[in-house]
Amino acid sequence: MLEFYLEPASGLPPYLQLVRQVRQALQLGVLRKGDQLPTVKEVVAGLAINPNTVQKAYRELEHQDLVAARPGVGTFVTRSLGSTSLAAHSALRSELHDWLARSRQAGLDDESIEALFVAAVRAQARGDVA
Amino acid sequence: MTWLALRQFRTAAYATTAALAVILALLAATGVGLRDRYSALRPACGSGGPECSVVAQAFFRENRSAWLAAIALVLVVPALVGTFWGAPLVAREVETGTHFVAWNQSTTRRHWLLVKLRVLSLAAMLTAALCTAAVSWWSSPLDEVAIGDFPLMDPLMFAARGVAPVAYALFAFVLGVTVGMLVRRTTAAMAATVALLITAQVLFPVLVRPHLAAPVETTTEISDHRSDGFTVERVGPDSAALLPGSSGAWFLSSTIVDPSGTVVDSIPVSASGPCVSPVNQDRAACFAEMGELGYQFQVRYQPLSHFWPMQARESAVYVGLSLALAGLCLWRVRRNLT
Amino acid sequence: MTAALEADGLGLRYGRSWALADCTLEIPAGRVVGLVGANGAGKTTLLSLASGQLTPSAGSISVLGGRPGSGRVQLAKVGFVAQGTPTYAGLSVRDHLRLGAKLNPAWDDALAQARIRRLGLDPRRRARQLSGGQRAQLALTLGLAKRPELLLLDEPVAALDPVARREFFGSLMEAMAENDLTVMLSSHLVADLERLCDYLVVLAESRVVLAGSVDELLATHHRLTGARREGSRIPRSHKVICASHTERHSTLIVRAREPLLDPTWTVSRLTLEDLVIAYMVAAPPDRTLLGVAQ
Repeated sequence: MLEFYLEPASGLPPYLQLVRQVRQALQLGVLRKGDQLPTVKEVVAGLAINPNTVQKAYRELEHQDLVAARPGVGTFVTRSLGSTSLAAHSALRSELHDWLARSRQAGLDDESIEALFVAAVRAQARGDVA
Repeated sequence: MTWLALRQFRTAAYATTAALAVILALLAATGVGLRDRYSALRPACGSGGPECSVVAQAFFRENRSAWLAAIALVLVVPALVGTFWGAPLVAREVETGTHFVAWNQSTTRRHWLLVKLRVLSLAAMLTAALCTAAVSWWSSPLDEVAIGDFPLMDPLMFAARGVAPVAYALFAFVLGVTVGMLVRRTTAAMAATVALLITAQVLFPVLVRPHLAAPVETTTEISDHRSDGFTVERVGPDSAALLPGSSGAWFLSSTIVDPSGTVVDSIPVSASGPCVSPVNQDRAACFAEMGELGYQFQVRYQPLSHFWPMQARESAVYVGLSLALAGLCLWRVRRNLT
Repeated sequence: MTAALEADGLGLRYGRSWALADCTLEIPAGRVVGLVGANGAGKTTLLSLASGQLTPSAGSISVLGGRPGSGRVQLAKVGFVAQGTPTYAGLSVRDHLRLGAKLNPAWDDALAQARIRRLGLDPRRRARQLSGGQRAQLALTLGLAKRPELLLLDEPVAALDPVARREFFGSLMEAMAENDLTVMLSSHLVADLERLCDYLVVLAESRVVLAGSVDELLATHHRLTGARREGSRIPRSHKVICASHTERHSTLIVRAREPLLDPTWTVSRLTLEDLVIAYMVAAPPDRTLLGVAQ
């Protein structure tokens, strides 16, 4: 079963951190359709966080049609994310390896590489191409 | 709530019960022997001869220390109750913050205090009653012998016999609680309680007790064995000997009055009379001269027959004070303590 | 939904100084309310007034619709774990639970017993033999098993190590998830409050300087950084909470009613801790001028 954690330095509100962790688990195949999410009580006891935060995160996930609450039983995953893309992971990963090698050859250090990558992701998210 | 009051009191109750058991056992064990010895005095005293007094005095002297210790015990019990049960009752809770535990259950503060006062007052009175009854029983033969030197109405004896010690215990306990509540520090409250109790025990016989019943006022002729010379302020146990039926009484005052009944400081005896002549002073003749001039002793005292009415009134006063203090506590507990 | 706590002009005075003054609040039910402020800012006073331990000298306070401490019914609705989580040193864990059972009509013995078992507390142990964390848990058990609608906690974890603190808050939040409970707790540890609270009350110098839902507060407060300039350049829709300046640089913490369009400012998010500190530093309230600090 999924175990949540909180990253105080992430700058994200706690409920969004939970949402993101569920999405990541779905993307990586750690969580599959039919799996049960930990109960609010379990999350709350483990992390010492406000139950309203967990409820809010679960509501958000429900809203995204990723999970469904069955009253009195628990919250269950209703669909998986990126199970198709999972197959493409290894190919993409090797391409990324090649790209990283080229970047180092071009004289970039790790910090510059990361900055470049984050900037590109953000730019694409905004819709314009760098 | 009673459960909590009893549970918190448990350790103190065990300790007190153990101490009481030891004391009662000791008194019971020695009390029987004491009685046997006392009955053995009877034959000597049956004839009422002078040897009776000698034997009786010897009997008393032998047991005098134990007898005084028993009186001290009865006098100390209320102080102990006030200091160790009363003063910490609220003060310790406030000091350790546990009053927050008690006051945040579904019970009002007033009810909490009321139950505690009720349970512990009963325990205090029961302890005092047991002690007083046992000591009174144990002491009764000695009390009879000692009545000349230690009359029952004398402040010391009066406070250690009858029902008054029970009322003292109640008062001491409630006083301790009140002080603890106002001072809110256990040690300080305990010290203040002791000080106040001693003050009360000193002031009450001086200021209040003489007025609990109208004293008997009587006059008697001035004579040799009735006074030590001409000291008029002397109020002594030996005064009992000069007034028939005043055995066991508490003498409040003895003064010299002139024929009109006015209190005087000095008696104008004749310069050539038996009171003045240094060579040939004749005390008996001197007293006779005073008598002829119409001077007398005037004595005020509380006779033994006032013992129970005065015990009842004194107890009532202390119970009344206790109730007033308890009322103050119950009012105060609802107000902000800090 | 009725408010868990409503205060109007609430104040408490000791002699001539006010421990809490002019406190007006309306705290919705079902929240975890964090009470923050420096020592002596009035946190304990507010909690004591809400639990009925103290009676106000000014204004009014209503807790779950009733006057605090007004009787058994009201007392049963509110739990209070006082500062230092006091317990009876000479009483055993079992005695404490019996105390709770005897004195509270709604006592949930199953819950109390289950908690004690799960915490691994030996029922025969006296409170003085317990660790600080265990005592705090015992006090919390007493507070929870009476089944209050509002649970007040005054610095409950001040004396606990990080592990005990996490366990304490874990079980508090677990209880909150199971029951309809409003929790109001004071703490110095804003990092803890960040995880726990969805409502925040900041006290400074005996006054409430900030109160509101955490989401809303974080959404409306920003840090502005940019070239040094004077306060007149800030739009009126933005209230400056505190400001600091270096020779060429200004940093402002502002409360905004609408988005700031001036592109010369860099706008960044605040953490709850930033927010709390901004208000604590900026006290007394309504100080809107620039250049307060430094």
